[in-house]
Amino acid sequence: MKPTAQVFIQMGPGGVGKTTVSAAYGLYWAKQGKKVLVMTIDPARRLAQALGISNKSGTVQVPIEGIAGELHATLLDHSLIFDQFILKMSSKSQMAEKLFRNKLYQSLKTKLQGTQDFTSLIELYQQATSGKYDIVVLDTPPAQHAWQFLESPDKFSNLFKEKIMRWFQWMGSPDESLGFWNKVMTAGTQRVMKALQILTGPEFMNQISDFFKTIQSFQIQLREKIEGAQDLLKSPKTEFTLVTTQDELKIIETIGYAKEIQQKRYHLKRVILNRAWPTDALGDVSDLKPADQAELKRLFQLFSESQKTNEKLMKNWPAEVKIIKVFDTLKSSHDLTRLSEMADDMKESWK
Amino acid sequence: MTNKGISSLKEIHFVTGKGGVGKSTASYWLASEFAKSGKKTLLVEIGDRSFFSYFLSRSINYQPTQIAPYFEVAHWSAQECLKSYALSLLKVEALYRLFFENPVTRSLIQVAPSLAELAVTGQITSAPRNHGPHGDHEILVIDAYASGHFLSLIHAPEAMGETIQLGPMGEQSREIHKILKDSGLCHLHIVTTSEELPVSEGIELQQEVFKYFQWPVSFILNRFVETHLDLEKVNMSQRSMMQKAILDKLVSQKTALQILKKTNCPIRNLPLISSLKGPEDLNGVKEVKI
Repeated sequence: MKPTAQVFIQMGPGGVGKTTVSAAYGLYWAKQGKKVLVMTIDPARRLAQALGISNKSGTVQVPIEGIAGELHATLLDHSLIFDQFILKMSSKSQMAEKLFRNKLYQSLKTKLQGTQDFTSLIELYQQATSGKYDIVVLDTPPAQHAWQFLESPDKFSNLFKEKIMRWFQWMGSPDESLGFWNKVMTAGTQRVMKALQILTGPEFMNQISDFFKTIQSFQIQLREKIEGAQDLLKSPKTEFTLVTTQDELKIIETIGYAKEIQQKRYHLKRVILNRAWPTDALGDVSDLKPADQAELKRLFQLFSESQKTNEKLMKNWPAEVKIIKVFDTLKSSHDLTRLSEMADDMKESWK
Repeated sequence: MTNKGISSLKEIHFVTGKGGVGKSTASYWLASEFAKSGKKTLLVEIGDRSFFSYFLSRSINYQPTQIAPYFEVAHWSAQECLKSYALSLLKVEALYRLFFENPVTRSLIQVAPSLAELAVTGQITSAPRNHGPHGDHEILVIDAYASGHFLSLIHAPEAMGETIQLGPMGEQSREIHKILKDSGLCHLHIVTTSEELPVSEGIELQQEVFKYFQWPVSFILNRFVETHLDLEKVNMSQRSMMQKAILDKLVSQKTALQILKKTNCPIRNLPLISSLKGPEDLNGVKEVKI
């Protein structure tokens, strides 16, 4: 399956407004007459707030009057994506059901952390190849997670390369002869398995073995999807945008992401400097009481001072990356007007 | 960290909040306050990458580094925590090396759900459970993950304990969960800035944690700007772009304070520091009393 949609991926440290930027992107392209899907992985569901839709899961068309295109938004439901993904892949439905009953699988998709990056990526691939949208915008989870998102395709394809599945084949099924597998496995492998059993206990081992055995039956399809998703990330039609704010530590973190993205040969196109502090002078304060005048001047100094180092840091970007400032401070919050204003600020980055 | 026997640990202070609010610097400040009061304090960061190595310009590792009297810092990555757990159970160094330097185990750990969370919470609670290696600190300050991931972290032992009924892993999980439920031991500090989103996310988190763990919660309002300007009396319509930007910040700060007060949790205000590069910029920083 070839991706038909253009993909925009937003990355950056936590708390810089990635979700809002993503929504503004989406709105901009919808206004240009495109069919757009904005996907968010943020568990706080901020996109819903920003778009004026709340507590709805699944894909929703955002009601906006008088625009040429369509804006759709989705709040990724990881548990649902996982189930649908498994159902789609399994040729026999009892295989899927066996997996749904597996305790490890249940924990994996509901209570426990670790699969959000994977489901987001798979969903991104599915939506980009669905033919339903011209543009798909993906908002990635913050900070520590952003790295994991980029690493997730490799992590999962390693799983197959290392033939981890084969290791678990002999376990948990009483009808198979353990003795035979013991002969096949190297002494080192046996010792590792023994160590794993000491660490976790037999029940966990049975669950994990069942889990991997079932997953193994989907191996070919799973591999196809993962490779497709990997290709999608590397495609020149997939543009990465870094979002940051004018905070020293965040800028440093963002520079780190930029290196990582370029090392992986993904296409970093722009850096959005969100909530940029205005650059103008303080202006006339003569109407205020002398004490208030002095106080406002002091605050002006304080805020300007904290911007100086950041200005210096922001100069060290590769030439092909555009830097766009978004002045967010005076915009109204949580409505489409504000998103529209933001999109106007970012417009030049597409030229 | 080889101490065994009766635990000296009195309090665990988790520090969390929305991404980017300054959790790490607030954690550092909190830990340094404990250390100054003469309590033996260990500040621990638990992410994959070490912030304090950058902040303190020295390598911060699994083994604590002393940086001031009564003040030590460590970086407990999930991988290191798993190693320490494995070593304490397997005893034989060679076996553990075989186990951890194996590509299969590595990819298994990367994808196996919640193993990392379990290892980290296991290490944090190792002193009160008297399990595995632990230090002789009185106070642990945990520079934890951002809100969403933090909730997964503290819920993981319970989930795993329910999932795996038999064997050492299930047992450990239930033990860890029991310690986490101890509201005399565990404390939570939610760091926020004045912006609306971190504040509302912080309050959601406080409610969730209170519901499941009943820990004492306090808020740290970071980058607080002290001012005697009376916002009610300033005519907003006449102001320049820059003046509006400044006043806007003060207004959102006032609103944040009002909202946080409704939770009845203690609030501590940490001042905005114009250039925060290293620990020397945090030395002598006092919370702003209002």
